[in-house]
Amino acid sequence: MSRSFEETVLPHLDAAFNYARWLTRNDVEAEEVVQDASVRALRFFSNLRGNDARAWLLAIVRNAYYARGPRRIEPFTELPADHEALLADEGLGPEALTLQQETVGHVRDAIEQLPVEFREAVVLRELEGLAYKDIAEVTGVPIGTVMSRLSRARDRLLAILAAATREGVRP
Amino acid sequence: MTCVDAIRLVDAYVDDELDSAERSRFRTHVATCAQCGRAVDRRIALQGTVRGAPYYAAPDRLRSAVLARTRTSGRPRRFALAAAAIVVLAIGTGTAIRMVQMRAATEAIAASVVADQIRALQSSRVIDVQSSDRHTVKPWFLGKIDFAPPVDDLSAAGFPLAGGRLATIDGRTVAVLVYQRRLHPIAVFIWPEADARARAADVQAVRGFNVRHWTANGMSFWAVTDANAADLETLERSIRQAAPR
Repeated sequence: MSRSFEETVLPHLDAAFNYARWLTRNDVEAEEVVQDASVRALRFFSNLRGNDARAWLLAIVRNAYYARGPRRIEPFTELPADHEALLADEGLGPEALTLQQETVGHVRDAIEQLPVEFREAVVLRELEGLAYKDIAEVTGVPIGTVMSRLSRARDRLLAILAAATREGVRP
Repeated sequence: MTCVDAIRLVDAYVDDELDSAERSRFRTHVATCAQCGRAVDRRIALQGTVRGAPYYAAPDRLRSAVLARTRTSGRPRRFALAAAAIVVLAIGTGTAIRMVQMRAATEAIAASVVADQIRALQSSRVIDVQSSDRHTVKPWFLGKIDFAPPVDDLSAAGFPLAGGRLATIDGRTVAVLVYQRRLHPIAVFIWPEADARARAADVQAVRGFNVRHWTANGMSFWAVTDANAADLETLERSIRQAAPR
């Protein structure tokens, strides 16, 4: 191992915290998760070898999160019954979405409503910019599953944002 | 390309995950299909929206805490030397320290197997090969791990086989057999153990899961369940009885 933990892993601490924060939806818990993860990362640093350090660290963050216990299991929330209509052509258009771009809190709420598997796929893809194969590595599922989770997550986001728009909800 | 194909690929397209042939077929379709074109526009607009969501950078105090821990625990080489020194010290100073260390190691492994089981339950990937037939499950492990785990038919004892998966425990890939006990899965983690002297079973409760560890026939067994501890004791007995003598 020629490069140190400090040089290889610590540059990805923001990514680790961002991921943990979206998993937990809570600042305090996110810090605890990253603390746990850093202990594990130090312990298993020799296993990193030539792998991508960011994906490696994010996988450890995920493990640290789930190791906190089964209370994490979230109920699977059903889409509103009319979601098909919302997704149809006359649903939310690009213009409506563009209008919402200023309402960051609104977008955050929509992402936070997603089931955790969908939420993490969206966060790793859109905020970390990971490729499907890296998301697959971090979350321990096949690439096909990553693709279908992202697809379903986005359908849901469109439905949630469209429903909020129709109700005239504004933060 | 049909609309059904195009809609199936729209995410891979906006994420730039299509190969060039697929991408050009996709573009050809979208150029002539207004509805699929709008689907692409909606996806791209949504990406823009989602990328505006907050990015939570690590707080400074977290960064300092992690950095401090990095520096105190040193680099892996120093850490390994320190660990080696502790082992030498333990051998020198007797059984008490060695037992404390073994206890710590046992607890660390128990925590790892429970964490893996929680992760598996959470991701609904408790089993990768689903079969109650041991002649299906046993060969599934071939070529995936460098040992052959004992796969026994324990259905007569009330533990029908549900399947198997792989797990990584302490850096090594191990076999996991999943038996069903009424409504509760029991995961049995198995790997070869150099020091497989017969020892009394070790019983722990970790995060609401019961863990039972024993060694037999050169293998280390770690059984994990959310069912009660007595079921694990019965399971251990059944596995020992099924083993060749």
